[in-house]
Amino acid sequence: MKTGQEYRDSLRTRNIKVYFKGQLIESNDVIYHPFIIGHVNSAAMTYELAEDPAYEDLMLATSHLTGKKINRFTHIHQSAEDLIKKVKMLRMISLNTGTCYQRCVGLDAANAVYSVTYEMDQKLGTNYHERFIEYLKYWQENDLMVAGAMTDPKGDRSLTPSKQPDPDMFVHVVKKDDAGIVIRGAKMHMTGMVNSHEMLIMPTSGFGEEDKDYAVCCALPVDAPGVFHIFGRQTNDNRKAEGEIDQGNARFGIVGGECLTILEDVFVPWDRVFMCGEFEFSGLLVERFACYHRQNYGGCKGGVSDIVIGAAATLADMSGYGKATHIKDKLNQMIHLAETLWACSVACSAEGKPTPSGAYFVDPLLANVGKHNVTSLIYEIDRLAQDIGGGLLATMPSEADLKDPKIGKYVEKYLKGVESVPTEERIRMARLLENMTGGVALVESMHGAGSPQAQKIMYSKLSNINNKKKYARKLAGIDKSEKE
Amino acid sequence: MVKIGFKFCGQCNPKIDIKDIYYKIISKFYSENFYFISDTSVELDLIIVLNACGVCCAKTDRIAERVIVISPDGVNFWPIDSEQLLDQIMKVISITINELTGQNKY
Repeated sequence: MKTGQEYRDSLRTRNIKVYFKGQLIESNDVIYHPFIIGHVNSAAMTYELAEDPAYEDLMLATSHLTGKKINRFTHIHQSAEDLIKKVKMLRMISLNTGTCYQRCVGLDAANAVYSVTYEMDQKLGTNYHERFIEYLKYWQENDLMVAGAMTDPKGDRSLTPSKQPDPDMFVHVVKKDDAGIVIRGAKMHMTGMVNSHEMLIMPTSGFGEEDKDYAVCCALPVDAPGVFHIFGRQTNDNRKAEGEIDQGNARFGIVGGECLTILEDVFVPWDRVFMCGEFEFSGLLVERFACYHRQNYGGCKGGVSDIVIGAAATLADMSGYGKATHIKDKLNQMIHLAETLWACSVACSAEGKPTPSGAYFVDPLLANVGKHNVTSLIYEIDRLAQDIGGGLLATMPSEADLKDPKIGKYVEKYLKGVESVPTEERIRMARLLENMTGGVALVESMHGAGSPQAQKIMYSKLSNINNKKKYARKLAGIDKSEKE
Repeated sequence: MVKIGFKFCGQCNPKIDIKDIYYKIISKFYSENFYFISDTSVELDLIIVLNACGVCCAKTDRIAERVIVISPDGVNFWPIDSEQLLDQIMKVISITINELTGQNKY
């Protein structure tokens, strides 16, 4: 397994092309760029915590392929207990970072591709599963960070891929030969991509035969020829170039550091291709990945909410109103909501069951309910946190003003709360709360792992509504049982 | 000297600082030998399982003569007030080591 430092060192050997604000960042310097370094630090925690015996119960697993100890972020779930340990690991890491550490996307992609390639091979006689196992051994042995790459730009959402005016709105195969395939298109919202080693590309939805060129799943290095990335902006991101305090969580940043990844006629050898035209399995792959990823949110957002609750409570104490009844009531509401998110993640994991490949899969209905809760309950948790935090969250002077030789003493004097608390500490806590409860942090809760409608459409499919009608009719005396 | 192996839970929702308790244990019983239970090269006399919340999810398939399970709620599932938890942990470990060695070391 890699240490945190070995992870950072390995990223520096890439020849990755990352653009930000119109400039190509020198590939050796990408991980030290002020707009990117926090996301690297956060991902590095998935390696650093695995080095600590105090966290090995969650961070380590035993590979079912090699019998070796591996980082859980490279593991194929072998039991419901593995699924529970995954979400516990996510909550624990969030407590240490207060933000996204990005590596779950690749983990979920691995588990989805593992189980679907097995079923595809059984039905179609292909050999994708064997290829994927060889790739997974390489992934586990080198403790890689692999970015899961699913979301296509999609263009006109009312049109299928092949009907789009621009055929590149979905990643597709443009050439095949004996050596491999050539793909073209782009992937959007790529979490952790610029600090990953490889990417695992998956189709973005279920396709029909007319769109079979778009049913492609493959792995490639993030610095493969023809690949480049355009790093996204975040709310208030210029603060990253201005000091530490105003960032709130300067060491780890906010959300995952997303980018637009362009694939401009990229060659992928056959041993890294795990689906190529098998359109009838594209929907299953999307569903498996989505459910694994929706499983996570009560874990990672549960841990992030722990920090928000802690920050709100501490800021109330620092301001002298921590013992007010209405503050305690709001904190209790926040705890209720955060533990509700957590409960769904634990429940969908505990109800997990094996797929034909032997890999365990979450209960899909509960996983979707959990992520759907996140799309609204995080907003409510953050609303309550902002209520507790007060207007200070939106009006504080900057770090530069606090440290200014002339006016700093006024910031120090008039932003003072409780006498025993230094003003800078109160400002730091308020900045943490401000940055964690607004901007991209909220949008990520809404759309990460799929927008709310993507969860709703699963309900009618998974909830057995006819059975509910049957029992209602029976109790209403409409349908009599045979005995009656 | 007693060979003591430690097992930590994953600390996903900690109510107590089990790393701090671990350091206090090895400090008080410094003359014993300490291991993590992932070190399978050693036969352990005593396993101490450290749980940071009341769920007590840490499990081990390692075998030792004695096992002590610690959680915020108590020791070996006997409830203990939080103010007395650390004292009780030290007391149970002392008694256990004395029993294992047949000496009155602590």
